Amino acid sequence: MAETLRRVLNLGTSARSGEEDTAEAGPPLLLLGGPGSGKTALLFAAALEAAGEGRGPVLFLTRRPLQSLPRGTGAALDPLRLQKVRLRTLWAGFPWKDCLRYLKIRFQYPPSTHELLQLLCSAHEARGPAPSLLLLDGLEEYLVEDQGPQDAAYLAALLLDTAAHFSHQTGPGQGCGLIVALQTQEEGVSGDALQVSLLQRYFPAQCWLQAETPGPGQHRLRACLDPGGLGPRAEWCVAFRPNGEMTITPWPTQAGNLSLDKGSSSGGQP
Amino acid sequence: MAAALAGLTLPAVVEELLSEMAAAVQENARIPDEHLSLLKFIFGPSAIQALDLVDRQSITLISSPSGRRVYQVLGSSGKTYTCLASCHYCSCPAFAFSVLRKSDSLLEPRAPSRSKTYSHNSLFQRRTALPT
Repeated sequence: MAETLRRVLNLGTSARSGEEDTAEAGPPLLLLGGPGSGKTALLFAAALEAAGEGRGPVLFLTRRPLQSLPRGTGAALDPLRLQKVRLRTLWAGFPWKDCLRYLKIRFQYPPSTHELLQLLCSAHEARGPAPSLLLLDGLEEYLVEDQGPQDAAYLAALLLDTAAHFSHQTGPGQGCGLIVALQTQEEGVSGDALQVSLLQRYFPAQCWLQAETPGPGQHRLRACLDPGGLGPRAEWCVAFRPNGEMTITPWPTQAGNLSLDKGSSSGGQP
Repeated sequence: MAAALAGLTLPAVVEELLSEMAAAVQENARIPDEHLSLLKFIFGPSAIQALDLVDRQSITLISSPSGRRVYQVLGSSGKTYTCLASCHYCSCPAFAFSVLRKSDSLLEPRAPSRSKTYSHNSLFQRRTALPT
C-alpha cells in the first residue's frame, strides 16, 4: 500500500510517476504520527484514491465517526451532512469526482477491541464485493484495552489475515491493500516503542508523520515513506491551512536527510 | 539441494525444504535424515516440538466456504490454539514467549532468519496440505 500512499502524497506535487501501477496491493503499511499529525487526513485521501481506481469498495474502520471530512481541495462539510451522507447535500461544496469516490467508501465504527476482532474474524461472511483497500484509523485506541504484546500481535495479524482473505476473493493481480494508522506518543516512552517495534514486524512498509515548527499559525509535517524494500524512500512536506485544507509538496532533499531507523529505542522514528 | 540454496534467502530455503519433505511424505517415502537435520538447524528446538505435533495429528485445518482458513492446534495440555494461515501468528504461550517477548527472537521484519515464527506456521501448512 506504499504506492497508493505515494500517489496520494504526489498528488499535490508535479512529481507523479509515469508508471503508476494500481493493480498490486503491495505490503501492508503502518502510518505513524503524534496527535494531530494528519494521519486521518492521509488515510481518507488514500481511501479516495483507491475508490477512484475502479476496483472494489474501500472499507474504512474507525472507532468514532469522522466529525468532518478531511479536506484536500474541497470545500467544508458540516458534521451532519457527513453522517447522513445524502446525495443532495453531499454534492454541495464537494468536488464532483470526490463525491463519486466517497460513495465507494464504507465506514464502520467498531466501538471496542472485542467488536473490532469480531468484525475482522467474520469478514469472510460479509456479502457484497470484496474491498480493494482496508483502512483502520486509531489502532492505539484498540490496543489500550489489550493485555500485552500477544494481543497486539493478534490484532495486527488478524488485520493482515483479513486483507489476505479479501485479496484472495478479488483474484490474482488485484488484491486488497491494508493501511493502519497508529498514534505514537512522545519520543522516549518505552512502552510505546516496544509496541511500535512489534507492529513493525507485521507492517513492512511505514510512513512517519513528524511535526515541524515553521512559525505561528502554521501547521506543517514531514512525511517519510519507507515502502519496505520495494522502492525508494521519499519525503514530503504536508501543510494544513487554517481552514483545514491540506497541501503537499516534496521535501527539499539534502544529503543525509533520509534517516529512518526502525531499530532505535524510540520505536523507529526518523 | 545444497547447490540450489546458494544465494537464497531463508524463507526460500525453508519453502524448498518443506516442499521436498512434503513430496517424500506423499510418496510414502521416509523423510531423509538430512532434511530433518536441516530443519532442526534452521528452526532450532521448536522444529522438534512442531514435528511432534504433526506426528500426534494435533493440527486441524479449518476452512470456511468462502475460502478463509485457520489452523487449530491441540497442545499437550489439551488446550487448543489458533494459528493463522496467512501470516505469522499463533495464540500459544510458546509464540508469545519465544517470538514476541524474548529479545533474541525479536527479529527485524526483513531479517534473513525468522526461524521461530516460521516454524509455527510453515510445518503445519505443509503437513495438513497432504492427503491422509
